[in-house]
Amino acid sequence: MDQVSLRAEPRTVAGTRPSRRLRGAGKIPAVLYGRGLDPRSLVVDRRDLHAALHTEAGANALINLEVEGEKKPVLTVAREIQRHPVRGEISHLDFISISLQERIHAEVGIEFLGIPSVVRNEGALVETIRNSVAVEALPLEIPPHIQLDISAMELGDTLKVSDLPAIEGVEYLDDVGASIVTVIIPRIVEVEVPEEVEGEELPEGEETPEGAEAAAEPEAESSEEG
Amino acid sequence: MLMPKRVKWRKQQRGNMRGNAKGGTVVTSGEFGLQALEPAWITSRQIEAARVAMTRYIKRGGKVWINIFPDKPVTQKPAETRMGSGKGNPEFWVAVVRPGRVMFELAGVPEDLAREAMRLAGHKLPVKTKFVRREEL
Repeated sequence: MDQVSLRAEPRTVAGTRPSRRLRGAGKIPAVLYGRGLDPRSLVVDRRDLHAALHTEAGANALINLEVEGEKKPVLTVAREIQRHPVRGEISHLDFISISLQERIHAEVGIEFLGIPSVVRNEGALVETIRNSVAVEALPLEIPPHIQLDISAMELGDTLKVSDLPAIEGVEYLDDVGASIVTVIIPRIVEVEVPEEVEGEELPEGEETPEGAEAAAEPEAESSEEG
Repeated sequence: MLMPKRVKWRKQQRGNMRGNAKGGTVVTSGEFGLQALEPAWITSRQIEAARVAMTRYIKRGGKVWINIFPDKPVTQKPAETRMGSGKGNPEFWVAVVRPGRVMFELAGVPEDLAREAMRLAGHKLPVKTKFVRREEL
């Protein structure tokens, strides 16, 4: 995996308002720590950070952090990337100091290869249950993606973490029985709803809201049409 | 339509909808999502209408997830009633949605189809919406 360089400046200001001003000026507040380093507040340029995190390695890129006023760059990985809930811009991130000789944990994306024949011919659906897997490896051995061939899957087949290809030096940390992808046939379009609120039953004699009673009829219709 | 099976208390206070969504802001289960850009109470009827619009458009194939649940009862007093005599009757259920919340997710369909299905669904909702994709690592 390639290493990318990123310039950073020490940050003396902290708190909501100064951080907001920095973001307005195209800078992103960050913190550097790990491997015996004292935590240091930093600030990085938004465009440079975007370029560093959009290489082939994605969020697992090895970043040589060149802190202004320091001679040696610090080898880091970006973690705890916080984003704005609507705009998606990075609002803060952590740089964790690493060593090339020590194994680290990383989340690696799974790339699915091929299309099962049942999907092409019988209208089956490939349902992705997880699209990434946790691995442990030396920083230079972390793969950018893990490729998984799904072209031979039949209806009802499920591929699990144990079916992922073995890669030298890379250990999968997730449960080997955890499902990754399955092939299902959608009889009607399925809808998954979150769990309902648990609690006491309504006291006897008390009516449920009127909207609720009216709900019963349209529901029967909607379930048929999917 | 979606509503709780049973609740501990029949009536709730209204609360507020300040700020952005604290969680549920990224696409997790599906490939595409419909994200709210404004705060609003989304009623169970609106959720159902959006779901039907989406599923009718994608026809067969595809899977829909609804990530919001209307667990908040809204009360109303009957028409032409004098003020007083306590809080009104529960009439319908709403989900409190704040900006950033991914309300619906979709998988198993091409992006252009998903985009149009989400556009149709968005028109059934009382908020401005944005089509979002699952982030690649």
